[in-house]
Amino acid sequence: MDAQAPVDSTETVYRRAVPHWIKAGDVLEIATEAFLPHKTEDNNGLSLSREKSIEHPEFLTALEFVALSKKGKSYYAFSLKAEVIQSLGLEIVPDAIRPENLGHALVPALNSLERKRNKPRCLEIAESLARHVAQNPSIILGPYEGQRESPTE
Amino acid sequence: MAATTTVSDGKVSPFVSHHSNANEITYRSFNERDRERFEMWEAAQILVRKWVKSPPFEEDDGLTPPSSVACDMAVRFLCILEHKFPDYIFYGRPVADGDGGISFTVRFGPITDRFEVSESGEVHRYTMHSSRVVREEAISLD
Repeated sequence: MDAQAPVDSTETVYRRAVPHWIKAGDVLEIATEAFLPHKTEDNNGLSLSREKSIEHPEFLTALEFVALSKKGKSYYAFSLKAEVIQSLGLEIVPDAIRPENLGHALVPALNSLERKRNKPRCLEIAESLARHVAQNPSIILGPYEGQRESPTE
Repeated sequence: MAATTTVSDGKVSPFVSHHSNANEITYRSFNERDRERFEMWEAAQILVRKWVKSPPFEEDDGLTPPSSVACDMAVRFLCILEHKFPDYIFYGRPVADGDGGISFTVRFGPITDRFEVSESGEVHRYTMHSSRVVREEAISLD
């Protein structure tokens, strides 16, 4: 299977989120921050992970994706149809990280520099995606535990 | 319209509607709507103060918890907004942005103001209407 195959609109992609960005209550709140690129560490774009499927068994499940995070930490995974992101005029490009995550992908338009240059546009996109998750709570998966041992431990 | 009560001593409510003269302070009565509003602002400030010692998440995987400078500035700003702009409705909750900063959102009619306090304590306001950013500005306390 080709890990660099283009991302189809029907594919599902995962976005990792810290529990702090999700607030359950009468109204489910998803923080815009969940979809904003990091100020300095998302130079190539917003990080996603493509879902493991029959076509792409080399990719990860949500549980396996979150397990790449540091041990002892819990995270959720938002499970989004690629078309939800693509419908905002955003491209999702494969960015395999070998060997741990062949399904790693990026949204290049949402990068650290763009956040600095065009914050309003980044905010509008992030808010739109956060609203989509809030309106579709079934796409919030987890929480799952990180399993990656720290190099210093 | 909330009734007003004029008092010259003692604390009746934190909602000073106006100063009629140097010796007399006019307070609005503390109705349910005021109480809810007060509690939301207070809860936000208490939460952010707590983050100085107990951040909502630890430094990890590219995420930075709010700095103490950001927490201090956010509390100062929340306090100012609460008392100077009685029509502002605090919306949602403060959020640690993962970059060492804090954001929070207030509403005034159809307008949403998103305040972002950076790790170094700089404040930016993004005014949104119908999910569009219509204004962006840096804010200073000076």
